[in-house]
Amino acid sequence: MCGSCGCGSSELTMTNLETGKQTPLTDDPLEHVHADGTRHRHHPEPDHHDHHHDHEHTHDHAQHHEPAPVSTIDLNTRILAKNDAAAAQNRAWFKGREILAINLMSAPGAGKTTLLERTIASLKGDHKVFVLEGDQATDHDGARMKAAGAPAVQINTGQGCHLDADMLARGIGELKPASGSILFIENVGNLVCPALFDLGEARRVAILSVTEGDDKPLKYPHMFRAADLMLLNKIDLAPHVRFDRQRAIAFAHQVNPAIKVLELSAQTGEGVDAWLRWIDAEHATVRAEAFV
Amino acid sequence: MHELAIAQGIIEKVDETAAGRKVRRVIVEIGRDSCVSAEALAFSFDLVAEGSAAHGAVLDVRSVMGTTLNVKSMEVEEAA
Repeated sequence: MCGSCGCGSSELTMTNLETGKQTPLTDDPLEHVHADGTRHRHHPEPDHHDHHHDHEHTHDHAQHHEPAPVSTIDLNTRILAKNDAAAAQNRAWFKGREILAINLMSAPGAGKTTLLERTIASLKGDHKVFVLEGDQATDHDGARMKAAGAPAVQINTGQGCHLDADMLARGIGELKPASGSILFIENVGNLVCPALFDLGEARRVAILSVTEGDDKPLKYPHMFRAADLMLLNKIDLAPHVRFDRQRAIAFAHQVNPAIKVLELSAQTGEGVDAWLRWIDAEHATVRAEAFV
Repeated sequence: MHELAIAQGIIEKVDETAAGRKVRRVIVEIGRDSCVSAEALAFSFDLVAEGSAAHGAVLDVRSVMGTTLNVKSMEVEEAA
């Protein structure tokens, strides 16, 4: 760690699983690459730096021209301040309309869409259900939601790996979910980025399926730390795969002691009742809080 | 590539505050647990900075604890 420039050792590392040897991916253990692409090398003695920044030392050229005076401006702002403001607006919009907005997040293939199809079929008699679909491309999932009986808007993020609060704002402007309804937001399949972006949802649900690794909560801690509920899906397949359900749940609690866990199979319907009861309870809570 | 969105957030703030002055350096604090890669962020920053007050500016990434994502300060050239 270099005290003067603040850049720690590079997080880019290589691990040999045979030997356990870990190597940072820089040519020289004392040298590292700055975020701006400049390299510099650290002396073993912490107080003797050998910087080679091409963006500094402009005073060397002072005899040729006067350098423009430079002033430092303090900003101290959250980088995602704009997203957070848009999320707050969405949250207020939902709250005033007593809408329960649930952000569903998982890796691709964990069964978000299948779960939503079954959930819509079960809820639509008693509730107004709306779906906002996020995918990088295609409207296949939006079409499945529509077929299942819920009005849906699909957002294709193109290169983007997550939905953000502004996309959601535009999505709900198009979808116009009714007062007192339940809005499911199916985020882009990704266990990393969506956890960073607050959308203004009331609840966050992370879905983990038994066809994935049971240590995923440890590998992707941000997602499970940010979630209110973890759904362990595809439990009908558990006997056929090496997935330790208790271990997965213990790992989820390790990164987030407050996370609730429900086990179910969206395909067979096993355990789905408990998920529907959870939705009902959260919906009641959100409606009760609307005018508090 | 959430770093692109992060870079856009940085540039928006910087561009707005610079009010036409040329930005030399931007200092950001990125938490080790924020799942933002400094390398990918620097790459995105250069792309997004093009055409803004921060065009050609140096992005100085300070690695900090936790999930912090802050624009700390910037250096601008004052008209001589």
